[in-house]
Amino acid sequence: MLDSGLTERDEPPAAAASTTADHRSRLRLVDMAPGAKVQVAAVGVGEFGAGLATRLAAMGVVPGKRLKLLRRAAFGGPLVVRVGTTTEIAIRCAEASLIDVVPMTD
Amino acid sequence: MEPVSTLPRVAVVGQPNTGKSILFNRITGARAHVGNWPGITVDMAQATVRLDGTAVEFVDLPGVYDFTGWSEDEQVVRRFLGLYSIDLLIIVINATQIDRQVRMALQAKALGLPAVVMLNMADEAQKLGIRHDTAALAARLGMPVFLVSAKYGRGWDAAMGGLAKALRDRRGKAPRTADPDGAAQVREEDCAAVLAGAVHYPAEEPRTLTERIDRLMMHPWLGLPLFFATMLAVFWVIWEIGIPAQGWVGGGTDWIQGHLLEPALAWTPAVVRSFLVDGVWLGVATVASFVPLIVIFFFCMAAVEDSGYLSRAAYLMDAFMRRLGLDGRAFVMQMLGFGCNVPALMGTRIMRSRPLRLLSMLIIPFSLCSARLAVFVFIIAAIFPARSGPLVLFSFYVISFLAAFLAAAIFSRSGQFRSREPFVLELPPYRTPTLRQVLLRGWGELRIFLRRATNFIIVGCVAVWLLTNFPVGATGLESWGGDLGRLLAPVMAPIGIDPHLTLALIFGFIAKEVVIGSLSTIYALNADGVAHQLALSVTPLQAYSFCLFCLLYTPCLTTIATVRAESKSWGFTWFSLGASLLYAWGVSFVFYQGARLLAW
Repeated sequence: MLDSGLTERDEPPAAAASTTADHRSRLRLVDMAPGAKVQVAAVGVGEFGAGLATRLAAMGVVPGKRLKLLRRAAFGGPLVVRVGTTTEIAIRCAEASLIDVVPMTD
Repeated sequence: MEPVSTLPRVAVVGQPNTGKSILFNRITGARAHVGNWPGITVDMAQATVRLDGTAVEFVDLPGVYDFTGWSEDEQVVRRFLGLYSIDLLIIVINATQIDRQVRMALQAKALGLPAVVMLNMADEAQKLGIRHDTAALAARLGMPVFLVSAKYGRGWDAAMGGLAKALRDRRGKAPRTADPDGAAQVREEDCAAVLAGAVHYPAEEPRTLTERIDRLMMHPWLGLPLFFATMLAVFWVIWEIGIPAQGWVGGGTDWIQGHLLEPALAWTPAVVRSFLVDGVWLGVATVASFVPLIVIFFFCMAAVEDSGYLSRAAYLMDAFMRRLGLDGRAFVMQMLGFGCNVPALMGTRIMRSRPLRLLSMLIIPFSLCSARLAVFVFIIAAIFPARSGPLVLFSFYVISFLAAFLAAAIFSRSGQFRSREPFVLELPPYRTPTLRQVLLRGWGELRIFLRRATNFIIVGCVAVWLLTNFPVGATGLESWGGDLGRLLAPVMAPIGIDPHLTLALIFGFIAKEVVIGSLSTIYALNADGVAHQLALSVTPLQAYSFCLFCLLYTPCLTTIATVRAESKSWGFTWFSLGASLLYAWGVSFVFYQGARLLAW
């Protein structure tokens, strides 16, 4: 159930530009540092199938939605993300690597 | 499929954390019971309520995120809507999260289901400065919309009046079923179009109390110690109130047995009396002794769960549990199993994925519950030097954890227990649970436990009574149970357990509380005498092996009954029973033979 070792690391790589070649300029939610404000660009279909996208949509993670990464658990544990203004979710790194984002400046 | 009743039927649906159960309870009062719906595999509360002079049947569907999702609960809802026609659907939406939950109302509309929307938690929405134009929402959705607080009763009369009116409007129209698989997807634009101008969120993100608490409770390094402290507190309550209460109930049933039952049965033949007292009544007393534990456990659980902390605890433990093929919620239940396995097994209902839930139910019985603790304390005191006692006891707690983790790591490799459920968990804001909610929950769980477990446990007690009281007049090793003990000697000797202790383990199937008492029967000595006898005839190695076996084989009949009731599968129940017996034997064997090899 693990994806590339990259996302399993303890330390959140704040410099998102340093993602691997096959991700090129794509920014993923999992690459962001706590405090980052982003907007969802796309929700991918990974090993979990379309079911995950459906669940994420029900939780408000749809293209265009504003997200804020609140915190990351120790030892490569889940992320806590605020979706919109009133929903907070915990999501594992593997799942969060399927969410493409664009940073927001405000 | 045949409709279960001919009354108008209202189904209540909504996402988790919308206060759906509280809303259902406020509509139905305490009248709700668990209904039987052919073709539906999970329990759903239902109740018949008089509304506007007409009897109406209300059904509480499982909380789901989506009508089309893949989780077990979502399949149940889909199946229900396909099999059973409804006159009205109540869609419960968290008023503060309507930005995403409005999707469900649009899905229901697309399915052509007659529906009303209850925007619940109006109190929280007001606090956060979120405003709703219910008239505009109703017009755009084409269904009535009510802003309520089910917890505090705000807007309730208007909502109930609207509900009655919606049902009146449905009179004479055929109830509807729906096939969510065939429905068109709800588009983002449609959701936005409904909300535009009708729902106002404040421009600034409000700084909430939840945020401040979470900064501490979910801190990367402080979070875990605080979690263990919380668990310790819950454990302490169960320990300080639940365990003594079990004793009080035991005193009560003993008194009834001594002062009422035995005198009343004095005229009956000894065999009949023994059957009724040591078989049937023992079963009743065993069930009764669990009542305070179940109630207190679920009071604590309801408080922890309703406060919103449970999902935080799952977040904190997830990094570790993920590697075992479980998730953080399994660990919470495992910890609670150290008080008593039975309610912990019932608590796994919070998991939505069946493989995940079954795997959790497989490892919870390895948690060293208080009943096993009593056995260990007795054996350790009898056989080990006083100085090493606490260390020996501590080693069993360590082994309890390791055994559970090892089992999880092994079984999660099998496809049957590998959960493919992604881990995306909602973290609701902290809320103060109301006393009413907590009491309702405790009472409801108790009724479920009594209904499911009673017969099973009484039958089990009678079976063990048969084994240990026949042939007539036989006691100890001469009984059929003793024969069984001797028959098992080739299996049990390699792990250092003699026929006497084997017989005690057979008694232990009923409950570990029975083990010490049964040793008195087996050796025909009082407790002090048994301790002496054990010190003479059992080596520390054999005693440790016996305790290991006690720790890992099935804790009690009640646990088996609960596994059966919760999994709804005899196959899984037998598997769980067989696997734990093999596991217990294997671990004891490795320990006993290994230790003997080293000592030689």
